[in-house]
Amino acid sequence: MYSLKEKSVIQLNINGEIRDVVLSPSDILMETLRGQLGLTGVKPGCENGDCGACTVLVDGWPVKSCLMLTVEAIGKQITTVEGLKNAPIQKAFIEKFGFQCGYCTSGFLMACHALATIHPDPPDILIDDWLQSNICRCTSYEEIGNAIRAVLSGEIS
Amino acid sequence: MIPFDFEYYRPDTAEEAVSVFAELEAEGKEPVYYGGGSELISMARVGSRSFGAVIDLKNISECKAMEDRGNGFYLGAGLTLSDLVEWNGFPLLSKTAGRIADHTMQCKITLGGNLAATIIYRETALPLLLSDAKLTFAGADGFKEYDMDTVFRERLLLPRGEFLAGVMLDKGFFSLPYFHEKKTKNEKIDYPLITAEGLKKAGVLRIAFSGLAAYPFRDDKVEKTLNASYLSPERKADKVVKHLSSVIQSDLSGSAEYRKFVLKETILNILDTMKGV
Amino acid sequence: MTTYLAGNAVLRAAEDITRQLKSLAAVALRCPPENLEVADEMVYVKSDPTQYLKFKDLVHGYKYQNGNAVEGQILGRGSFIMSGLTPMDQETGIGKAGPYWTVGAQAVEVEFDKQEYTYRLIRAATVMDAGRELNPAMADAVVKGGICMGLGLGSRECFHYDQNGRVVDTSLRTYKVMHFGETPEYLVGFVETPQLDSPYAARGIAEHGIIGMSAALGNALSLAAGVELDELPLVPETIWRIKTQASAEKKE
Repeated sequence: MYSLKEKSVIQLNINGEIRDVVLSPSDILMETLRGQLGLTGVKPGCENGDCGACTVLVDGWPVKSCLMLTVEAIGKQITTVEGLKNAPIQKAFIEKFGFQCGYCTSGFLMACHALATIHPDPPDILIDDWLQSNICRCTSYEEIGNAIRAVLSGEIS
Repeated sequence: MIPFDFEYYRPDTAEEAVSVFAELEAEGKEPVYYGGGSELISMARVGSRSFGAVIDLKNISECKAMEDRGNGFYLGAGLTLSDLVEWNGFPLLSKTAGRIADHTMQCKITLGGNLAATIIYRETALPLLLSDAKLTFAGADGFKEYDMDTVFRERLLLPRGEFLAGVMLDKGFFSLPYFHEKKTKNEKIDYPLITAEGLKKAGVLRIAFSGLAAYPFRDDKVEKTLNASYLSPERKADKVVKHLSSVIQSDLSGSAEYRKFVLKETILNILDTMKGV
Repeated sequence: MTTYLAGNAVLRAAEDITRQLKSLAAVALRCPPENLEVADEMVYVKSDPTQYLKFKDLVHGYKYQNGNAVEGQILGRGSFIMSGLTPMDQETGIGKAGPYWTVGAQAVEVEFDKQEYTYRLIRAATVMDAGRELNPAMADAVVKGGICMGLGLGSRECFHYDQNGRVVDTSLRTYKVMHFGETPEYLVGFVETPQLDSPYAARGIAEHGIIGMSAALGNALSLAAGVELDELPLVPETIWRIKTQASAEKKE
């Protein structure tokens, strides 16, 4: 049985690298990624699981890091926007004008990247379902839709 | 951030989980069982819940399993709503799971977490109530199976120190005609104004509700009314609304009066959709 | 406002820099300032471009070959203030409260279920006249974003208060905003009546798309429901309540 009773040094797999992290059981993944690992691409928004700005990938699936304990990340592969490294969805967002202020962008990129990887040929309703997890206040969502569709159709790869 | 410290345990077996719970309880550490954690973390953060230790159940094999066991299909309580959506073996359950919160949250919320939630909706209870599911509890005496309707009355009746390990589904329900109507205030992703879902077994309609009252439920009298062939659909809908009037709630999603209107329309739609099947 | 105010100020500061560059270069190149042109980070004699000085040799002052240096760091200054503004008369409303009007028109098409009082957004259109659009892709994007926000305000967003005046919907779970997949088809266009006292004839554009959307939505739903809807947000319960009240009153 694994247990963590107090602050300890733990290893986490972040963006393909093993990183040492000073960890308490009550730490939230979003805060550890930003504060200790400097991965400020993960954005604090509502901190309640409603806006998606903090979305990261856990073993390839999108998860809201504001509602995950850091200790739950042990043994998992965590991917943040810094780990995408010029993924097609990033090029698509630039080409299709998928952002204005950029605050929701990293969360959207993670959700879109996961969708394109796990369901490369989704019906429209599935695209809607996956992307309804993220809020954008600046754009109309149209450009974001164009970006994900450009990746799914192979227009941008 | 969570404004208090606590200990974290991740047992590998159900026995370990139950025993460490008992130890921590005896030490006065106020342990809680931990599934997806979204409710615990969001409540802890705003100070409406505190605990001294969490026992993460997600590594226990009975909580992770998803398999045909011959006499039924077993779903571990640690499976996420997204796991249920992707599986789609029991479409009504998958449809229900796919309309709870949003997709990314479905990748974290567990079946057990939703059933045992503090928040009143517990929509995963509906397909289980409708399909005579059996729940497996893990306790000091090992695993015990119970009929859903004996251990779920408005909420999951879990004795302290026990946890829900999994759910056994009767495969005979998987391909029955079903319906799922989730009405919200206006936005697709929202708490239910009314979720009304059900299925037809041997020509008999079953129905269950969430959001309508302050708890999810099935009601015998409602089902008798809906199946009474001598009543017109209009008459059935009116009777159901009247019967449930005293429990229909008002909240931010909508007033009780509006819910009655929506309930009537929903019942009429359902009767119409399901009449030929 | 940034385009108009800051833009004009920036243009003036740039002109100030050009004047200073030409004035200093005229001395160094020994010619009248009006014979000089400024381009490609150089100041050169129009009639003989082989006579030139680079910006980097002017902006911190100019140094002669014998070591003497003159002038100093070139700093451009520009500011802009709106002219001709007057307070508005309380009775007549006559007065100039701002430098210009940006006008537009907006429309919404909805599909309304008369039985259940629910609706879908089909199309939303906005045409704005904000002078010349300096960045058409950006102008398009911000107006569409405004339409989205405006429709969210009209159809979902609402603060609810308890009896003590405290907000009860304190999270984005209960305070609903527009999400992906719930939006209409967007139609955006621009009419470009130039603003003569503005940089490059632009009036600037930002949140304009928001402004008329709730009203357009209200009008569309009022027509569809056959009753005047003047409450926000236009959630189905509100439409149901107003419609059933109106029908009841009609019967009396």
